[in-house]
Amino acid sequence: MTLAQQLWEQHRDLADACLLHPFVQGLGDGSLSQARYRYYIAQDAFYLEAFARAYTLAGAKAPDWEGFRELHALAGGVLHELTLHTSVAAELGIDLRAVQVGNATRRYTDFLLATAWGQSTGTTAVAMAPCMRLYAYIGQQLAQLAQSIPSTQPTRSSHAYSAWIATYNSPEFEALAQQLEQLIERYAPAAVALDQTYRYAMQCEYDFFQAAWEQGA
Amino acid sequence: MSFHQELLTAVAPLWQRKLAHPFLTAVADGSIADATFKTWIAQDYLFVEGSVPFLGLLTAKAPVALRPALGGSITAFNTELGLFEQQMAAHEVTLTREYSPTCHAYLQFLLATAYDRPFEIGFTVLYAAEKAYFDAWERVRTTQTDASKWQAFINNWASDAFRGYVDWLAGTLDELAADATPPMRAEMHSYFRYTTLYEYRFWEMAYTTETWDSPLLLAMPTNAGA
Repeated sequence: MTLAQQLWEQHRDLADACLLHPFVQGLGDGSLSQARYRYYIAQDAFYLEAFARAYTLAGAKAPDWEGFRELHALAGGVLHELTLHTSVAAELGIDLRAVQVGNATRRYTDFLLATAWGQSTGTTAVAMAPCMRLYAYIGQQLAQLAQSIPSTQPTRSSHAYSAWIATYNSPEFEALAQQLEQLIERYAPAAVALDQTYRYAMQCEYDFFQAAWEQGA
Repeated sequence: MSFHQELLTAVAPLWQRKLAHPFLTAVADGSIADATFKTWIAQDYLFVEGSVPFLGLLTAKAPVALRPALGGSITAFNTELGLFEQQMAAHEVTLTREYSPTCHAYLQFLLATAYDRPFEIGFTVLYAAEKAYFDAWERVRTTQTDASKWQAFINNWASDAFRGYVDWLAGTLDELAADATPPMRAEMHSYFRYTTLYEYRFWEMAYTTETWDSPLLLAMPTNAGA
């Protein structure tokens, strides 16, 4: 079992709590209110900017050129994701420049940036992996759920958040998550408390959904 | 009005709420539970220890003229850790490596700010934290009825030396603000308010014995006036 798999399995409790969170379930069955989704999209756009910068910082610190190139490409993946957010925000009439950053969002980006600036490439990869693996997991699980719902209406499985699910259920996104996890195998330092770093990021993920649930209510 | 007064005025309700926190009131009237105060000691030790790299990063970004004073504050923090260790031994407080969620998040905020933002912003955060400490312990000192079991901590911050240091921070911050652009000053306001929230939250963390199952920082008021 790889280190990334071990970490995932060890903290699966929090990942499943995220999947079962009413916000995520609401994305899955399309019942999530637009107010909550709007809050989430605006906060996530702010978050993704920090996420892209963390990749770039980790890339600049990579011990070899190959690592730099891969982290640079991963940052490109985030920029693509941000483009999607920008168009969703435009459709919803959200001005991303005027967003007030929430405490849960801020706490997560502070952690990412402090880690990326202060720690090694490997530790930063560990801090970032929960986000990627969790979203791939959520995307895949929600897509399966949508398929398994027996329905008399052919459009039943398609709803306001189907595009969101499709993004994170895509093979392209899974490939990005795997690429980041391979960087953990290559660069994760031994004898560092990686376990706590991974769990903290996962806890931040849960709180991010919880904040969107509460703030968008 | 000077810039540092402007900052304090902008967050006045929250600042007052912080000074009136039951943790501080209980220290002043002697009713604070040992376990509560010991939770605070253990977490504040971790916080002071974790703030040293923050000061180091600030010093590295500081204008030459400010480096000696900021370098001196690193020494002061290390001396403060000595006070903690002595008090921890005297009161049988065990050193923990378990960060409370608020302590951990606050430290990440300090480091992210020092690394990621301009010097002026990091300096604003330093002023906010130190001013919060001076005001809090000075409030305890001026309202306490009897000598406290924890007098060494009260006297450490409610002191002329610490007051002088905080005044220096305020004066220097005013000078930095005078040269800052309007967007920079706006960001200084925003970071001052956010630091004040963490200071409030730190007392709350100790008073309620926050755990990782607590609703974390979501419970923080988002509006400074709230």
